[in-house]
Amino acid sequence: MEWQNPLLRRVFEQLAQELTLVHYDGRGTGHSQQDVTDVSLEAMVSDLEAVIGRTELAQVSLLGQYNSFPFLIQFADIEGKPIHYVDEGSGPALLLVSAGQWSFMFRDMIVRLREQFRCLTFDFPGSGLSPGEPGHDHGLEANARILEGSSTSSICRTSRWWSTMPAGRPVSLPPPCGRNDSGPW
Amino acid sequence: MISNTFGWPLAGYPAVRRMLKVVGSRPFGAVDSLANVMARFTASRYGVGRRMSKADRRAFLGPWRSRGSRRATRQVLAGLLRIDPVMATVEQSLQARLADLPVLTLFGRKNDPYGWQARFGRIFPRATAAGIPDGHHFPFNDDPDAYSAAISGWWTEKAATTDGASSIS
Repeated sequence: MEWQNPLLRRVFEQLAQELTLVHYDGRGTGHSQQDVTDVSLEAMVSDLEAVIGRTELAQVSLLGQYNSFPFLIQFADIEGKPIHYVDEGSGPALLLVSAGQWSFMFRDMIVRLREQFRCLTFDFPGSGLSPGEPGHDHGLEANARILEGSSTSSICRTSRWWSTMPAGRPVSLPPPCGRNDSGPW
Repeated sequence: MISNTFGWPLAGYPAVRRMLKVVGSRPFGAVDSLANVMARFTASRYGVGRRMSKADRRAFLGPWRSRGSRRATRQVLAGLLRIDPVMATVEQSLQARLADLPVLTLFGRKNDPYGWQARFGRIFPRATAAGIPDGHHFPFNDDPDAYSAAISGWWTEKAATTDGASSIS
């Protein structure tokens, strides 16, 4: 994917004029194996050593960054607010919610369950990767509206699931609906 | 699926309310705004960080570089002091409309001082109670293998044969 970024592509092409450039996708990302459960730093270092070993180069210089969140970063417009969400895997939908925290905390669950479930989680405004909104009410009812909005937005145009949140308003949440396999998912 | 949370008013839990009052107080807000203490504690081994590398913890803490994010987290928690009327309605709704659902309560065994898992068990008679023996408030981070296996096994055994599923986390 980074080859499609004009800035990075130019950097890589300039480096390649002087050096042998080796680039690879980290585990769980890009074209590398997706169904991995171990995304620890140690595992990624092991991958790096394997790649270096395969190149059979006597000496290498490293250019890289650690990716500890191996999911596609996506945003949806909910209630006029940009909401970061994660949508990984397939199967019955599993919506993970924890107000006040962010989706990173579910990472280790998602990498283990995405083979069995479609794992969905998102960040409320001002949390995680969702930008803060001036004057946003971080109270329960405002967050419940975001959750309700996620059920009808492009995040959750799905499924055999429905949900409520801790301290949510179960009577006002939308009913279950059928997964739209012909949709953008 | 329910983990280490509640679904009723907090009026009967004065110690919890006291803690939330501290979190919502101006002195704590000033300290947290400067030192990011709440997020740092959350990233520790008593929060989400037991199995995380230093690099992971840094990544987890990233959004809280913003003082606005620190303030948002405090407001979410302090706001729990004002929701008892809503929570009374929630509890009634759980009992009246959702009590027949198959539910998995999966708690960190070291973070249920008020018996909330048992209380959920009284609301949901069909609930399956499970625990992460060494788990605290975020048991899915304390032992992601056991936590994920519990969900997977419960779903396969109990819920896959029913119509629909519920998620309260």
